Amino acid sequence: MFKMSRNLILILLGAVMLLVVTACVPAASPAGDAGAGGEQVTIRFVSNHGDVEVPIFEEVIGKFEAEFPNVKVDYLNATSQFEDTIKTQGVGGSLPDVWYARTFLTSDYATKGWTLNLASLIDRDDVDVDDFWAAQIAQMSYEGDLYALPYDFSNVGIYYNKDIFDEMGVDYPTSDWTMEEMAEIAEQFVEKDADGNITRWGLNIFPWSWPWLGILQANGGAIFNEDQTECVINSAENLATLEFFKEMRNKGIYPESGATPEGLEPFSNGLVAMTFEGSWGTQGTRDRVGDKFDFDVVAMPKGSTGRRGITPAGGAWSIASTSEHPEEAWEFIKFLTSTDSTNTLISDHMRSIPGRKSSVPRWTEVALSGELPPANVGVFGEMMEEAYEIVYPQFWGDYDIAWSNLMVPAIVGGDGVLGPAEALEQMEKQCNEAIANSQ
Amino acid sequence: MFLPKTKLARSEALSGYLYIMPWILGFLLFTAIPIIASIYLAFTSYRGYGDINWIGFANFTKMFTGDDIFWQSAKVTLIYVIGFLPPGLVLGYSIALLMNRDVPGITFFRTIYYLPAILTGVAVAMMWQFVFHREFGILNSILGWFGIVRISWLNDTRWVMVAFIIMGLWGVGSGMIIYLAGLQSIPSDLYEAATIDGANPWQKLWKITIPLTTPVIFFNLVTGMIATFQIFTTAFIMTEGGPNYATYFFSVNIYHTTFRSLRLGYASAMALVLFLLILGLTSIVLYTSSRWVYYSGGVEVDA
Amino acid sequence: MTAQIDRSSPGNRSATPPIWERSRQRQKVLGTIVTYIVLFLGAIILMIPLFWMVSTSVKPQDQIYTFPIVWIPREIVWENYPQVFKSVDFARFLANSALISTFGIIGNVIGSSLAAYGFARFRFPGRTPLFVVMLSTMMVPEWVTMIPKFIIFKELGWLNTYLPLLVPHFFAQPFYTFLLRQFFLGIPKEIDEAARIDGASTLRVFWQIYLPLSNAALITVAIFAFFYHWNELLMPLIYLQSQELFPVALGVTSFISEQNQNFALMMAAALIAMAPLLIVFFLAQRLFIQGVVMTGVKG
Repeated sequence: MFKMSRNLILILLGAVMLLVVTACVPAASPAGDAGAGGEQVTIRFVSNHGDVEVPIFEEVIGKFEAEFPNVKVDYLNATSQFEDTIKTQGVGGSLPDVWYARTFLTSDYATKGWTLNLASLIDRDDVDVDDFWAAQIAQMSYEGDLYALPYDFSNVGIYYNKDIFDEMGVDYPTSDWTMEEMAEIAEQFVEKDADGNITRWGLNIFPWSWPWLGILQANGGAIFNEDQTECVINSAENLATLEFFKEMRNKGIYPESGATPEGLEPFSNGLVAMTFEGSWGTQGTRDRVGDKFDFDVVAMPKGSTGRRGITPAGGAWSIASTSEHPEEAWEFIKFLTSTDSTNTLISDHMRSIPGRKSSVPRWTEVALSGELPPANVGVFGEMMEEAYEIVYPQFWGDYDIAWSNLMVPAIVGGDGVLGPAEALEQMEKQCNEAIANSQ
Repeated sequence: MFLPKTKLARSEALSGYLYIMPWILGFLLFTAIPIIASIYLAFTSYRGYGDINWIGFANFTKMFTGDDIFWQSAKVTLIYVIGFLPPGLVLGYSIALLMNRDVPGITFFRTIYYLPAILTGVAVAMMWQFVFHREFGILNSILGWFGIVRISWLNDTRWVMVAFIIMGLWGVGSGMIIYLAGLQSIPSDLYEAATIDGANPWQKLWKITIPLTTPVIFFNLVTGMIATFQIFTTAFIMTEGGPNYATYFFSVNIYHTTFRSLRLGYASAMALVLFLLILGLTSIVLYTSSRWVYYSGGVEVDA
Repeated sequence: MTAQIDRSSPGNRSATPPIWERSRQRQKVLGTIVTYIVLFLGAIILMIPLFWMVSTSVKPQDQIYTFPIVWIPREIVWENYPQVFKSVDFARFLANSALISTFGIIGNVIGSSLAAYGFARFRFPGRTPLFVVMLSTMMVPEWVTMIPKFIIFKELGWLNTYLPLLVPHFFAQPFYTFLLRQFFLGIPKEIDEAARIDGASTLRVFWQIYLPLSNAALITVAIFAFFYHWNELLMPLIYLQSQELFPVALGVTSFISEQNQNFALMMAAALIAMAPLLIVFFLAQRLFIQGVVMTGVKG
């Protein structure tokens, strides 16, 4: 082996390089097919969903391709670091034709000029915009024009364990309840063991940034000013809300961070009597609870303003402004968001609230068929009518990072972390930084 | 500057260039341009779209005088480097010494010790969250036997760094196999000769083993420094840089600035600062290395 | 620098070992016992988290979420493993990963060893500065160069191929070049010179002396390169657009994404993705042990 001559080595090297090149001939057809109405066109479509959704998408794509035989959809489901990939492709100028654009990012993408302004297409084709949720239209718009068509829309309600309520002789919550009443009710379920460790809490909450926009506002606190040019989160009302939650935490009403077992879902294991849960959680909760206990859902409680703290957020589809086949891409997202497709994609599987009001009856029908709990599942749709019309600003990504670093520990506790007052102060500072950086 | 004078020396120099041609080509084609682009961007306010505006040193001024998070990143990164690197190097070397023994089943042990280094990703992160859990984690259970109070490892701004160092040390196996390669290259006659001369194991370690493995120690020290300053994945998956920015390492900061805000100019500026920092420290190590690194080939090198 | 060991007369070994020999033997046995104890302890500590992963991967659904946590599940459910294979085109992903990793190893070993030879054995102007430049390219966080690189590859037309993942690795990666250079510097100059005097070309010396004598280091490079390419996630994600090109690391993320609530499946998928690495490492150990025993140079 070691007696090979120099020539042979060079030949070997060359052969290897050749192999590399030929072995890597692109397997997928390039998206740049010449296509003007009638000729074969391929569009790239990227979703960011779980593996269970893939076959459903493929079903809808199949129907689309049957109706539009000259268009082929090259579908990819990207599961991890999806946003990074889109951003890299965005800067590099090779975005997919259609991709999943969460409403958190609408203004971000629009300010960068990556998404197509759909206003003229919507007018031209007479798309029924009234069928969309008003709050979602606000979130999918930038400077008054729509930049995406809706997929689903989500909000947060409160599930409660009826068995535990019965056991403790507490009346079920009604939709009239306030946050203080929620705390009072939850406190009755707190149980401790002989050593004083808490073995059952009253409530499980979400400390995430977006639901809290609604919670803070329901108590009269604001996060941004009118045109989102300044952050005003450090206010007396917000401090009061945070102190209110902190007191709940100290009483053991909801678990401190690190208090519940890792890898265990608290509600389905009876560790809490109530829990925040999203409109997307119906099927998951049913799977986890099984027939361990009976449960139902109630709307978010009212804050000091008399309104409920409902923040919506959702998924939508955008078209790349650099797409070479905007017409075909437009037909595709219209198809994806039609009532029929929405029924297939969302209602039939109870994903979250459909992005179309006309799909809600089917969603409710599926949810209530089989007579499984929660019986009151229609409340998610009802809440959507009262949701705050929140628009996520262009700097939402930075806001989110600051929130998880500063505010989440203030809400869920932790040793050596900033308390509510300092956290709010820091948060406002970082938020204003983010605003300044986005100019 | 070394200039080849004789024909032989010139021919040697030419051969040298020829052999490093693969690296030079690759560098010019794939690395130099992105790096130069990045250095250029550090002096601009580029945001991923629109114009690229030159702003001179403005990014750096902002970074050093107006950005608390930058200093926080610098602080936590340095703490991690100082807290992890020395123990990591010593532990890796010690384990490699153990692994070098020719006892039956050593292959099996080597695989076990190397295993952590190849486990990555979200599944491992979940596993760690389980280990470090305040109430039900294994670590607190074991500490409980010694009467130590439960620590909320990942949610305590003071202990989270220790947790990260523990996680880093768990993966010390990858440095181990490099040490092992070095240990395996020591001719066994040396040890035999030393035994005949009456040396005990301690002397053998300090007079033979360590000196002859200084090339790989040097390697692990330099690459270890370079890698440790850039620690990212664990913090990204498990803590997002928190709580309260306690694990907001340089790399995490740069990542967020690049991909969440797409402030490519500012991110490049931070990367440049990080780069210069690592380069400075590495140069010091390189410069002193000729004094303690022994190459048994007998060739003189400047580093 | 080695001493001559006189093995000429077999009678040097006496039947009864002298006292210092006996205590040495005792030391040896003690040393072995201690070694095993330490090894086992360390192994146990290292393996606890891993054991949890394995244990979780075979738990039935309702036992993952039980309280208190179950270490050894009452019933072992193996169905997660076949399910991983069923749900995605796993065989294809494995084949893709194998292809990428194989070429990755070849490229890295060839490119890096040549460059290491250049840095170690030849003196040329600017050698140290160039070496430092090479090292410094490791000091740049990958985010920063990612987007410019993406643009370069896009202009070259290499999107949706394996080329961006493989071609750069044929051109000497700093990490491996540095490692091999350290080993090459340890090879005695005299052997090199002797061969050159005999008329061998520099390439011949490289091929017949340096490579064989750096066996352990080359295998290390191969192992590292294999693991790097096998586990690589971000680069394939950005450059590959068709699902059929995906390597295992990408294919498996559909299970391991943060959206997934099925821990058992997640652990099973992670362990499956890891298994080939383990097997390769274990096998590579054989080559490792053979190692190098140099007889040294006389005089």
